[in-house]
Amino acid sequence: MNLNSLLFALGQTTSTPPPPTTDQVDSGFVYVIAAFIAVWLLIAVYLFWLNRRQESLRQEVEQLRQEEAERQSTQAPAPTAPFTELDPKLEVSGTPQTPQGNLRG
Amino acid sequence: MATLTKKMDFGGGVTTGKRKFDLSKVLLWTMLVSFPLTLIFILLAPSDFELKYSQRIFYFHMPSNILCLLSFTIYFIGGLGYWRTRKRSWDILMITGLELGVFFALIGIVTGSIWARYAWGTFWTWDPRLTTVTIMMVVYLAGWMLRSSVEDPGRKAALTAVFGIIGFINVPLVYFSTRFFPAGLHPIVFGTNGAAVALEGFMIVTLVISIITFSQFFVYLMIQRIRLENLRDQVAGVRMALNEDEDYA
Repeated sequence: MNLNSLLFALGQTTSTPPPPTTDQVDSGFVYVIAAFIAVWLLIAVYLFWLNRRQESLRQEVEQLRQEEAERQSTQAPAPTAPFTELDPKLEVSGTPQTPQGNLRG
Repeated sequence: MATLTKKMDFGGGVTTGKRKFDLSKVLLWTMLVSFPLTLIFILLAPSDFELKYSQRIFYFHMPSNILCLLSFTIYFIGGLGYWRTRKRSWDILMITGLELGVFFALIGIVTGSIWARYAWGTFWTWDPRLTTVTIMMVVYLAGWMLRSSVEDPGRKAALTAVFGIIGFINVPLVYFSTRFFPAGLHPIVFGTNGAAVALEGFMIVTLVISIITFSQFFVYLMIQRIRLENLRDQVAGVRMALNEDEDYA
C-alpha cells in the first residue's frame, strides 16, 4: 500500500459518513433514524426549557428570601415598653407592684 | 388528583421517615434502563412487510399520541375541577396537562410526518386524522397563548378552564376521525372492527414496552411541571410577604 492510497483510506474513514444507500432509503431505515433524532431533539429542548425556568424561579426565591432576611435584620428592634407603663388596675388599687407580666410588647 | 398536586410537594419530595423519597429521581434512574431497553426491542422487532424498516417509527409515534390525548384529558379534568372549586391545585393540573399535551402532540406530528414521507410519499396531507389533530393543536395553543397574555391569576385560571372544557371536544373527534371518515389514509389502529394495523407477538411486546417507557417519562415530566408551578407559588408567596412588610413599614 503506497502513501497515496493510505491517505485516501484515512480520508475515507475520517470524513463525513457516506450518504445512505438506496437500500437504506428504500427500507425506511433513514426515516427511522430521522424520527429518532427528532424525538430526542424535542425531548432535549423541552427538558432544557423546563430546567431553565425552574432554575430561574429557584434563584428568584433565594434572592427574595435573602432580601426578606436582610430587611428583617436591618429593621430597628421593637421599642421596649417603658418600665413605668403599668396596668391601670394597679394604679386603682394603689399598691405599687412590680410591672412583671403587665408590659406590652 | 388535585389534592395530590397540593399535598405532595414534588419540590421537596414526599417524606417517608427521615429520608426523603423523590419519585422523579426514581423515575430518572428507571428511565436510564428502560430507554435503552426500548431501543433494543425496537431494533430487534420484525419489520412490516409493506412499510419495512420505517414501521419502527410506530413505536415512538403511537405512545406519544396516546399520552397527548391523556394529557388533554387531564387538562379537561383539571378544568372541571377548577370550575367547581376554584382551587389553585386544579389550575396547576390544567397547565400541566395543557403543556404536556402540546409537547406530545408535537412529537406525534413530527414523527408522523417523517413516517408519512416514506409511507404516503408526502410529509403532509389533509387526511381527516391529521386535520383533526392540527385543529386540536391550534385550539390548545391558542388557549395557552391567551393564558399567558392575562395577568390576573383568577381570570387566567378561569380562561384556561373554559378552553380545557370546550377544547376537549377535539379529543374524541381525533380518536374517532379514522372511523368517521374511513376514506382517509391514516389506518385504524385500535379495535377489532376494521383495524388495519396487524401486529404480531414481538411487535406487541415492543409496543407495550415503548408505551411503558414513554409513560414513565410522562410522569417524570408531570412532576417537573408541577414542581415549576410550586416554585412559582413560592415566589408569589415571598413577594407578597415582602410587600406586606413594606406596607407595614
